[in-house]
Amino acid sequence: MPTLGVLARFRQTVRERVFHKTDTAFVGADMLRLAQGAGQATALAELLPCDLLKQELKNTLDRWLSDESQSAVKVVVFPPGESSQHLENWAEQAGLPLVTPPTVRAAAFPALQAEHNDDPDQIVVVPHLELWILREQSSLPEIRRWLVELALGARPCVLGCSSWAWAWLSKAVGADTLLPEPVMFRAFDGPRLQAWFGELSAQAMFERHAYRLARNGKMLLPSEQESDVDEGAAKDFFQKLASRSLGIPWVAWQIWRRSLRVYREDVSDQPDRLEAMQKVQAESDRPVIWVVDPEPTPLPKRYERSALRVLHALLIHEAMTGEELARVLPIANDLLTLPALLRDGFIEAIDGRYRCHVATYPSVRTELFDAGFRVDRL
Amino acid sequence: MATTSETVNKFGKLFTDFEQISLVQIALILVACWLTIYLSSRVLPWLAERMPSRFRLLVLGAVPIIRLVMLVLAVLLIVPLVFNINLQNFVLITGTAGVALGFAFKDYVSSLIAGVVAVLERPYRQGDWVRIGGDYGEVVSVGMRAITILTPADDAITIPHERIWKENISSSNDGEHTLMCVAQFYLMPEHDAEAVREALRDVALTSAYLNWARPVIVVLKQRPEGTRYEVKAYPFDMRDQFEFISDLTVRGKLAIARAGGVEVSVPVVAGADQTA
Repeated sequence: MPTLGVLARFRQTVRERVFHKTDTAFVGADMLRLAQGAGQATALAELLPCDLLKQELKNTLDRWLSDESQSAVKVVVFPPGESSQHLENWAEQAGLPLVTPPTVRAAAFPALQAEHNDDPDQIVVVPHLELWILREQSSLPEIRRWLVELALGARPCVLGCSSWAWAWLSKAVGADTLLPEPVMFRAFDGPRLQAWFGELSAQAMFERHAYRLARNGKMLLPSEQESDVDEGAAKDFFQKLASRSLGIPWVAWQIWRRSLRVYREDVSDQPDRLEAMQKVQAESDRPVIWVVDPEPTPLPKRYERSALRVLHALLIHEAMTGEELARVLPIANDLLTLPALLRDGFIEAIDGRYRCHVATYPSVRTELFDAGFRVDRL
Repeated sequence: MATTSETVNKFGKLFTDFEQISLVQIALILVACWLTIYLSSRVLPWLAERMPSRFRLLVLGAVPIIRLVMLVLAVLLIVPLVFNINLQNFVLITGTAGVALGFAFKDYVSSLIAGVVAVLERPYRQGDWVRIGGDYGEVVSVGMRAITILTPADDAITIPHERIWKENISSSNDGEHTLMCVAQFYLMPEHDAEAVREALRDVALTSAYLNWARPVIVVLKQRPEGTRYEVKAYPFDMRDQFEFISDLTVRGKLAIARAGGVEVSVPVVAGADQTA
């Protein structure tokens, strides 16, 4: 993907410098700026819930609950960055006890026998196993013991785990052979993403703005007020978004947010296009947000392998404090890459914990794969 | 008996008339050949370092093949321009060249031929980690006559290809992207071997360099100086082999101490077999 991005930019440069052909989009990139600020509600909004995903998870788990012949443990694997608490919400609806992750990693695993001992057949839900584990020698026996106990039927359990943690646990403690085959949601391809965004567009938060493609000025999402939706271009856009986001809805959402632009009032060196854009804006009864094609965010070449080791560790553990990172990294100097990764937007710090930024996850995954690191299974 | 003029006549037919030899054409062929070899030996290694690591060895391996193809092509193109090739002349040329080279450049030609065999049989490729005689290092270039390996001590060693005739070539990765790394520990015999073995295995399984697709093995051997543990595992990229071994060693020492083991230092005894 980074290679494609570089090639696309190279092609653009050649077009401009050799053939003197400029960007032919309806709204040029130089006429837009990132949609940030109080006015652009959706650009700042939290991830909106994906009902489709929620329903699919509910159907799968309800079917498992009602089928007594099934294994006592159900493993649900999520791609990294899952913050919508899908399992937690399902557990709450189903009235099942939830085991919240510890504040200190690997200190102790959820006690399968001691807690909830009022009813040994009571199903417990452990939503984020990746927040319990630590990739260090001293904690591996505890992880192994706990998984064996679980596999031997100590307690019926719904176990949620990130795909990266699951991949590592499969190697380190044979989680994939101890526990049943995990379930994972079906990837969101172009039509699925388009259907989801179509549902979202009916919500009040979306209806405040008109979303138009910077490429051709046409509407991207259907609305009652404006009907000039370019179906072909919209399909193409969501196909590209699905591909860039690896079919992960929350990644697609973050990439979508980074694709939103508003026009720059200070740019007027292209009067024709500016006039056309202003005409479209004037005809719209809502402020227009211009949507540019989602582009990959390649990692800077100046990054050393130590940066990749940090990103790899963060993906396995989902979110870590600096102290936890220091415990799993082989060289203390690896931590020196944190400021650069933060500055360039590849990781973020939330409540004192570092995590990979969801929007850049596809680029990070590609980069890790290209560098030979073992990655998760999509 | 052939007269002198007949001999001259015959010899004269071996070569194309000097006026008919296109020196410009030969020069162009040589320049094109040299340029292709030069560019491939510069550009491909540069590209290999910037490409996804799974393509690195593939790209590096193309350099000697391109050179061989270009040299063969150049010879095939130039020889007909200079010589009148028929069966008689062919025997004469190869015979003469064989005798001359056999006497004057025996070792050099032997290395050149071994170089061709090395390109075809591939006992080593550019990017491989090999041991030839007592030298261990990464093959950084595969030339016509010799290869250059870069040792962990950063010494560049040139080794003629003809060594493949007489010596074993040990390749640690054999074209793969990874190789087995071994970290050794010597412990006092009185300890819980089961606990130490598990701890050392977990050390490898929690390493940031570990290739998850390859096995991790801990081998014990009772030796006069103590119990020897060898942690054998693969890094995901062989360029990390020394960092990987260091990581295994640093964390292995801690794990051994936690498991109640006590390390011993092994005195090197002259003549003692350390590899058994």
